[in-house]
Amino acid sequence: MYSTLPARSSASLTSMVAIEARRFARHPLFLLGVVIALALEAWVFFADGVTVSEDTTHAIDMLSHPIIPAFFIGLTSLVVAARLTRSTEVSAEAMGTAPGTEAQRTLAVAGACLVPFVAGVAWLAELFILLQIRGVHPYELWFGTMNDLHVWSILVALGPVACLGGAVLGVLVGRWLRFPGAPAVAVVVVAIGTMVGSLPYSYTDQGHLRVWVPWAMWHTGTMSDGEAWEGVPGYAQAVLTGNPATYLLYALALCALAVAGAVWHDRTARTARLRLVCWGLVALVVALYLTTAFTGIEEMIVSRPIPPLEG
Amino acid sequence: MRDTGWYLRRAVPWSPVLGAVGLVVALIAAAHRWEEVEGLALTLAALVTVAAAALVYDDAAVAVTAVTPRARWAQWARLAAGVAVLALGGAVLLTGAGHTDRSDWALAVAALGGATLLVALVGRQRQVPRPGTPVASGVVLLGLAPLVVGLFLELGSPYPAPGLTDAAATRWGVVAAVVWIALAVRLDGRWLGGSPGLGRGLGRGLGRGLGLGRLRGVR
Repeated sequence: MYSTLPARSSASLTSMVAIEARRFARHPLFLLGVVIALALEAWVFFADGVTVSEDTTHAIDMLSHPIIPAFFIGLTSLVVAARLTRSTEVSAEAMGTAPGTEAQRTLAVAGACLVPFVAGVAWLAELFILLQIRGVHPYELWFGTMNDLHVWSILVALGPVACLGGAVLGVLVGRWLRFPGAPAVAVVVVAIGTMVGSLPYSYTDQGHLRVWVPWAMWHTGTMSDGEAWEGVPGYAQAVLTGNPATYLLYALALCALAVAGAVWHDRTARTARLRLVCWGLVALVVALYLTTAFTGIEEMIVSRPIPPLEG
Repeated sequence: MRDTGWYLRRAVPWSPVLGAVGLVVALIAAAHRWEEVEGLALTLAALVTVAAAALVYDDAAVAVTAVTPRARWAQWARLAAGVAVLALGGAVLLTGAGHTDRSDWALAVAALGGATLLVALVGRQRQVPRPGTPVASGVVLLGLAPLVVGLFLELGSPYPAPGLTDAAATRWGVVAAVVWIALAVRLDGRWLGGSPGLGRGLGRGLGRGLGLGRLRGVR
C-alpha cells in the first residue's frame, strides 16, 4: 500500500517529493533495472577486454558502456515514472482526493526522478572502481587520448542524465497519454526514434546533425573483427563529430522541457510565467542543438588499432 | 456467437489494440526504408504485437465480472481476441515489404504471445483491473534486453537474424507448446479437478513474482 499525503493545500512540495522518491526507489521494476545494470556492467567489463599479452588484459570501449544504464535504468524509470504519475490521478478521479494541485503532484514525481539519476551516478562510480582493477588500453579513446571534458560529458550525458531523462519522459507520458499501454509505446518510440533519427547518417558528412536525438551515439566501439567499417580501420575505434560538452547541456535542457511540458498539463498552472519558461526552454534547446552540431569535434577522432594477442 | 461478438466489441479496448497494430505497420515500414535499423525494428514489431495482445484481458470492472456466471466463457472469448491480435500483427510482420526472410518470426511471436497472454490472464484472474499495461511494458523491456546485452557479449540472439538456428527454433517451440498448454489449463479449471488447483497455484506464484498484486488499481 502506497502512502500519500492527506488532501490539504498546505502539503509541502518537499514532503511530496520525499514520498514520491521513496515510492520510486522501492518500485520492483526500478530495483530490478538497477540490479541488472550494475551486474551487467561488471560482467561486460571483465568479459569484453582485449588481451595484449599472456598476463595483460585491458578494458576497451568504455564510452560505449553508458547504453547499459540508459536502457536498464533509464527506460525502466520511464515506465515507473509514468505509473507513479498516473497512480495519484486514479484516486483523484475517483474520489477527488489527492495531495496538492496537479502541478504540485507533477513536480513531486519529477523531483523523485533524481532517484534514477543517483542510480546512474552509482553506475558511473562502479565503472571507475572496476577501472582500478583493470585499466584501459593505452590507445583507448579515453582520458589522455582525447579532451577530458568531452570524455566526462559523454559519460554523464549518456549515463546518469539519460537515466534522469527516461524518468522525466515517463512523467510527461503519464501526464499526457492515458490510453492503455502508453508507457510501452513510449519505450518503443524512444528506441526506434533514437536509432532511425541518427544511425542512417551518423557516418556521412551530415553526421554532426544526428545530435538532436535524446541519446546520441558518440563512440563506435572497436572494430574487433579486424574489418574496416564506415571509415574506421580494423581494430580501431572512433568518436563521432559534434560537441559533447554542449550535448550534456542539451540533454539537461530536454529534461527541463519535459518537466515543464508535464506541468503544462494542469490548466490552472498555465501562467504567463510558465509560458515564458516553456518558450525559453524551447529556445535554449534549439540553441544548444545548433551549438552541439556545429562546434566541438570537427572530424571523427580515430584511435590507433587495438589488436588482440594472436592465438 | 452474436453474444460473443457483442461482448468482445465492448469488453476489449480495441482503440489502443488497433493503434498498436498501426505501430507495427510503421515499424515494418521503417525496417524497409532504413536497412541499418531492420533488426531493431523487426524485434520491436514482434514485441508490440505481443504487447497489444496483452491488453485484451484489461477489464476495469473485473471485481464484478469475475463473479458473474459468464466469467469463464468470457475469458475464452478474450483469448480468441488475443489470438486474433497476434495473427493480425504477425501477418503484418511476416508479409510486409523487407530485405530478409521473416518466416521464423512466426514461432517467436507464437511463443512470446502465449507467454504474454498467460501472464495477463493470471493478472486478470487475480482481479487486477488492467493487467495489460504493466505486462505490455514488461514484455517490451524484457524483449529488448537481449539486443543491448548482445552489443557487448556474444551470447547469440534469441531472435531470427534473419533465421533461427535449429537450437533456437527448438527452444522457441518448447516455450510455445508449454505456454499454450498452460493457457488452456489455466482457462479451464475442470482439467485440474476443481479449484484451487495446480494451475491456480502456479498463477498465483507468477502474479506475485511480477508484482501484479501491487499494481492493482493503477492504470
